[in-house]
Amino acid sequence: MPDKPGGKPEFVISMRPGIDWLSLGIALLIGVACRYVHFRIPW
Amino acid sequence: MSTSASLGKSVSLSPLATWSLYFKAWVRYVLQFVPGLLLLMVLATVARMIGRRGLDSYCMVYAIILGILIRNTVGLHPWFEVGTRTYEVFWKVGIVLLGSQMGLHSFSEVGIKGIVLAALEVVATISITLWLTRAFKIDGALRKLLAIGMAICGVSAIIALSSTLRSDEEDTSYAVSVILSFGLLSLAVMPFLGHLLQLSPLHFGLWAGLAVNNTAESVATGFTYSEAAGHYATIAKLCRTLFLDAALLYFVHGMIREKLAGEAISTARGLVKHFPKFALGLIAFSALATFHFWSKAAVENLNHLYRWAFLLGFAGVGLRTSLRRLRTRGVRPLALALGVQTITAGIMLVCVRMLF
Repeated sequence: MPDKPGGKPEFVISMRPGIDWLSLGIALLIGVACRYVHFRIPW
Repeated sequence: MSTSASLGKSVSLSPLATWSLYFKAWVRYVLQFVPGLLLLMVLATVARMIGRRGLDSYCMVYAIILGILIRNTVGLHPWFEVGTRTYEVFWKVGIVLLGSQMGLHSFSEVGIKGIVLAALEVVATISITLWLTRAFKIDGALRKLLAIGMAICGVSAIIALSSTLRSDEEDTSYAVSVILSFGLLSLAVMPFLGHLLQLSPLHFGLWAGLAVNNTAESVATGFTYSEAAGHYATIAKLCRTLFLDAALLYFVHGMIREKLAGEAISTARGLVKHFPKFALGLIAFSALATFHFWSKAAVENLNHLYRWAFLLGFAGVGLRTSLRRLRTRGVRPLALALGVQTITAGIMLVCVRMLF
């Protein structure tokens, strides 16, 4: 992403607040997938 | 859609051409994440392979160390920058998934006493840091960034406050480096001290959650001790994170009143924006696990997934830890951070052992 005028990376200003929602959304999708789809994740 | 051509003529694009342009832009946007994401995956896999050959619980430490080694030796090529910045998504996803491994009883064990201790830690650390910054003659936004970084959730709190204070990028980067480096120091020292003092998983987990600055390193410190300690460390750390809004409000209320009175700033909206939503996810997953939403096989899959998410996230934490940057401001801020870290860790250890 390009930097905004003023020198701060765009990431700090605009992407940051969305990270929590994005993480929550991904985790919910994984949780639902684990409930209804049968697969095996190795460790 | 019409665009202005260089000769001033208006060019009309068909809907298909417009969508084609959007698609190409979207592909370009997604592609810039790929190299960094691949690097995180490689580091996570290598850390896991090393862990299999040695101490399994140290996988997360290996991921952080590998990241630090790359960042501070060969450096990080700009190609990898954007993708590696996604590390925070991974450890936050990991924290939510971790909820599936512990029932709500884990929260009740930490309970009100944990929240009171977290509040005490936040108030004590901010007070001690602000007081010591005067003694160490550290001024400006850096003292506030260090105070909130050491008191609450490290990098998240620093970036939340820096975007609110509109502080200098140099101050922000420096404060982030200090917090990550001292988190690393805690990760190296605290499990050793925990074994020396023969702390129970509950005691050590709470201590790690309350004393280690950055969330990722706090969780890693807990898991390095034991899996149960990792669960308690995560809960205690999230108790601290819940005070982020209160601390932000404390630091910005003067600025909003004095400097930005004329600007349309909604404090309530800003606070909602910075509230750690993933903490709610952890509680929701714990509630679902308590009511047996997932089968035994699904819980095992979630267990493996949260570990992989942590490995990817922690590799990113390592890649963001620049040890060179620590030298830019001399020894005073480092001495301050070491002093605050030692004092608060000591106070928290005594409190945890007295209250639990």
